[in-house]
Amino acid sequence: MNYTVLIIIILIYLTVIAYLGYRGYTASKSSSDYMLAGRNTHPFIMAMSYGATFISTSAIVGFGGVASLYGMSLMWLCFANIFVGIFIAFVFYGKRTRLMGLNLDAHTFPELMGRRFDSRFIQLFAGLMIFIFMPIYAAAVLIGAARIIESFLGVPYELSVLVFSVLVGGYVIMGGLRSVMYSDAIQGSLIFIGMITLLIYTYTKLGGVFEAHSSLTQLANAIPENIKNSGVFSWTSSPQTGSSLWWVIYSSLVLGVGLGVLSQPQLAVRFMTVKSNKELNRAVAIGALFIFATVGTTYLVGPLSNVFFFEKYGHIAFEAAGKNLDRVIPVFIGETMPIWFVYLFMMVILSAAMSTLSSQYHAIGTAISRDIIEYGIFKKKKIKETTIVLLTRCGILVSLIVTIILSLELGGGIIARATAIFFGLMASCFLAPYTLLLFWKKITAKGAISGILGGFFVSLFCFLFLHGKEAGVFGLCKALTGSETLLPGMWAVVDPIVFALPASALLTFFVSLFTSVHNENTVEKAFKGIIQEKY
Amino acid sequence: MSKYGDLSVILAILFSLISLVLCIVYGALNWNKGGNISPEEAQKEQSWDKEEAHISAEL
Repeated sequence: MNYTVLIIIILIYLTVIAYLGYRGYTASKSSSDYMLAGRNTHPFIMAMSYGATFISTSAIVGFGGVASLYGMSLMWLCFANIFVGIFIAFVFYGKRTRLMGLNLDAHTFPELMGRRFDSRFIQLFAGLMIFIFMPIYAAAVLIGAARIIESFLGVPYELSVLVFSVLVGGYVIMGGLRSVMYSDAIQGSLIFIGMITLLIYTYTKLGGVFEAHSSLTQLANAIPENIKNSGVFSWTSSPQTGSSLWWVIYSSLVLGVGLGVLSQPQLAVRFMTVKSNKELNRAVAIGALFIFATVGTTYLVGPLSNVFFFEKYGHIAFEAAGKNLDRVIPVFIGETMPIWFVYLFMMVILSAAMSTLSSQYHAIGTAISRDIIEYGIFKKKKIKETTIVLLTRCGILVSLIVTIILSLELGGGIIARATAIFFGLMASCFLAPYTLLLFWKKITAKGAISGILGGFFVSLFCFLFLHGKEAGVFGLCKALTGSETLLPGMWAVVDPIVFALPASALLTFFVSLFTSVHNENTVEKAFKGIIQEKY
Repeated sequence: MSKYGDLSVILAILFSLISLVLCIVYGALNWNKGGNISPEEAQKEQSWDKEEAHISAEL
């Protein structure tokens, strides 16, 4: 690898990002600019920003590695990402979120929920959830980027974490959401080109689609014994129904991430950045193409990398990557792709990490300034516009520091799990109240609070006492009962979302049914223009 | 199970492609729809423009 060429490419890339950061800075005059990009974003920029925020190093590096070991059944997550994450999200959630956000003058996801119910508690709790738990997801993204920089450039992991996060934090602090979305559009385009190239190159090298899948099917004997015992007998088939890996794939990954996307604060806020439904209609097509090109490629190439490694070295991708799932895709790219693609992929990964990380920093920063400090602590007292923007910048700085610390503390192979935890937790707490507040006038503040707290505490109980991976780490269940989890066998691998989301939905619905709406005027204001909306 | 994979995986790939086509067709059919802004929205935007001009003057 020619490091001089690579460093020149990276410097050009960073110069473009710095310029876009400056453009965002000069165009951001008010908190509405800083938090919502002035609500007049171009549909291409909005779609690419949504996609590039959605798809991070977690998806490409983390889930690609997981797919290499668990097989192509992860394509169900690709289906969920397109059908739920784009079609349902934009057509049914996006249009109402945009108009309701406009009617209520909401600038953040917690503020939308808080204003819809005239509830400071909901806004404060949602802001705190973002502030406390989103850094775990941000750390997963940062780890993915740092591992790539470490693999390709030989820069020590700790230094990679520090430099990369400061670079991203710099342009977010400077230009707010405008800078984030401008750079997302460039980064999304790079990701799209890189991933399409990877898909075509992989299939070409393996002799075409049918030949590649046939070769992978024939590798069934190479699957490690522990994976076979967990239910995966072929990389081109679904795990045995009810097996532990069947539950991991379908409850944690497909359900947790596939549904969880609907209640992601950093994605929901994108709907509030466009001027009309026309932009959302156009973004549906652009976003779906982007998602298919990225996650489709990842979940197909991950398993197919086994064919490469087996033909070349006689062992599978997991072993070629030193038994670290987060290294499968980087090693696969480094070993099999031409040098020009390694340079391109380096840019793809930098873009995927930057676009998601910048949105996470922005979401955490606005949660601290707008939802926790301005509305939670100062109780809507009139704060100067300049102070709000300054508070948001300080909030982003705090999120940056917390994320760096977490990235240095978390262990290997954590990327996909940390992402699934955050997506699942947000869905468990907010998906039911968020869905009902958009579509049902009779939902009450008490119902929403019951659903949010119910989802949170059921999730917490599952993490501490039921779900093996987290319960084992916390050790509380073992200390109290002597066993790692309360329920034996399969129950230890069922994701908390399976229990928490229905609990949250039932609580929200039934408590709303037996309590009355106390803010009819706000409800009418929120739904103004929505009922007669042309879909 | 065929040599290209079992029905579940083939369906997952097929449904992903169908969803992609659905989104593209939806986007194409509605490409120029939904651009009308209600008078209330336009009024709201105007009031925000004034507010932002005031803020900028303050800054």
